[in-house]
Amino acid sequence: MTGFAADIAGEAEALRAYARLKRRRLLLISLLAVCALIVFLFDLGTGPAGIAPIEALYALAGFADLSAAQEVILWQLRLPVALMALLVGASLSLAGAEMQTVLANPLAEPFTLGVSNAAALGAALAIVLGLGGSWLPPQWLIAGNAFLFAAGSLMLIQLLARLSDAGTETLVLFGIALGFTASALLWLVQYMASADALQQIVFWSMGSLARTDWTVLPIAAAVLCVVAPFSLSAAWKLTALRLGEERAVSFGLDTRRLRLMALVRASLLAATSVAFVGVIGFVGLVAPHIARMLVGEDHRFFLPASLITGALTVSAASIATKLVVPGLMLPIGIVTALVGLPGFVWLVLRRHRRTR
Amino acid sequence: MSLNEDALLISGLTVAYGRRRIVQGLTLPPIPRGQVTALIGPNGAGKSTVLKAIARVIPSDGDLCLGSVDLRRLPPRQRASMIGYMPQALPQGTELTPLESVIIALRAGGETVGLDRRAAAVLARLGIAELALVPLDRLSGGERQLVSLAQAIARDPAVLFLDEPTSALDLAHVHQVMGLVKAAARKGAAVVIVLHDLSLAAQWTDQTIVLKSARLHSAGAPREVITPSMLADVYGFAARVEHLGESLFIIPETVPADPRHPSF
Repeated sequence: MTGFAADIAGEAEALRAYARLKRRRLLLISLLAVCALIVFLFDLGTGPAGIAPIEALYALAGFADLSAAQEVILWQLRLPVALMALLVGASLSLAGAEMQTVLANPLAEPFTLGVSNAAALGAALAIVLGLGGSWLPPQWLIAGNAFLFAAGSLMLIQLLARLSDAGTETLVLFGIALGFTASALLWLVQYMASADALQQIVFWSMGSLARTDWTVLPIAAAVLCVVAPFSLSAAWKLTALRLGEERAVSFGLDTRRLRLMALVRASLLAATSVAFVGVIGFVGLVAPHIARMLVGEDHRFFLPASLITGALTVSAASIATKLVVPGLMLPIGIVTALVGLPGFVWLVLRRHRRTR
Repeated sequence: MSLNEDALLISGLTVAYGRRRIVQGLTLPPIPRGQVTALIGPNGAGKSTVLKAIARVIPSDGDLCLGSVDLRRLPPRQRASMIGYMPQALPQGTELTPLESVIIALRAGGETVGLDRRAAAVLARLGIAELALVPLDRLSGGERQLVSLAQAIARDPAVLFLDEPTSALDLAHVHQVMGLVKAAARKGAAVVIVLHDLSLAAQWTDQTIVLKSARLHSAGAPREVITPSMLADVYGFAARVEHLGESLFIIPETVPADPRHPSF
């Protein structure tokens, strides 16, 4: 062991290093935000209408002279979709980050816990039953039903866990079981559906930003703006949870309540996203892991970084949907799954290496 | 003010998992402030359960007072600021660093200013300031145990509960940690420590409480409690107990037969 004086030097040095580390994390978060903004502009500028990213920026600021058609394409088609990409990415990633923390499971996210399957089931039922009428357009009803099923599935998982007084691992298993059940029911609905409805269900479940317009955008934005501050205000408690359940309880934290509230927030975010854009998998899983690698697990940094990384990821995926097959916009769920799956495998392998 | 006036008093402690009662109506002798009390007993005697129950980490019934303060009635956060608890389990798979974990421990006590500086000072006190920013996952078991202790003692709590704090440590660190525990007691904390090493208990603690099947078997000064008859009765282990200065040695009477080593 080093002597007293050496310890003091180490202490001062540790403090300086920590101050540097905090500055670096803030810088990284700012850099992520700048990258997200740039990717967002490229997203606006990608597509067959010939609007360059820089023109898009000028047009947003009101300086560019675009043709009338370009104006419509930018404001009515591209901008809502590009903004929705940011919002959905941020929402799913924040939901995934909170779930991973409160379930103490690095593989937890709305998608792996069956929330997305439940939402797809809800949407499929709405499509098949042809609900809705003059008072409510069908696309709203589909979104609403998807939301109800997604939120309901997470509540059901909570309820089961509470009734059985089970730990977080059981909660995750319940989620997986529920996901499979929802999938099976979805197949049943698809099997019984008419050809038209079947096509609609399949396209819905693939996840697509193309359905976005200016009416749904404010809802997604409002949910994120309401939920995110609550997440951030719970940041230190969530960090404490990473030190272990017993430790957090010994700090006087009501971990049950903390867990419940975090899952309610995650449900709201995930259910809203899935309702409007369908199933977009793996963003909620991979983006928080990237954020964790960049800024560590102090949730004051980790949560904002996750949020921005998610926004950046989906925005980039949105560009890819337009580039992979020229002239065709692929469903974004396919892109995130194709890119996310290798990420998922890599995470599992990395975790395996570490625990050995 | 005598030490016993604000000792930790535990009576009628009952812990149940579902309908099964693990501990029933356990009353322990007063645990004075300024002293280190060892909780010993064989595996499954309920040491950790009792420690968790009095640290209020698991729900329990019974009276728990520090002097005239009823710890059960305090709001959780206020109680947490008086109690430091070090669990046996260490966190797994976290990127948090020792400094951050101690900052969180201080923050949980309701403090908001100068946390970084104070947390660094706590780490320095344990001689692990140089590990301040290494993710916990990359530390050895012993180092993580030191960080865990740092979280427990960070707020200088009035009561300190430690569950086998030295189980992963080498010889030098064992005695360093016991020295720190003793120092915390000298500052006025009531310390309860679960130990398996009876020699360590004899050397470093002021009072020893022996549990057998979640009941109080005996209690008192270590020298009086750790005797051949207690070892035979509680551990079912025949041994002589030899004292050498402060130290205590337990020498088995019958070496269990091992075919690879013919008896000498």
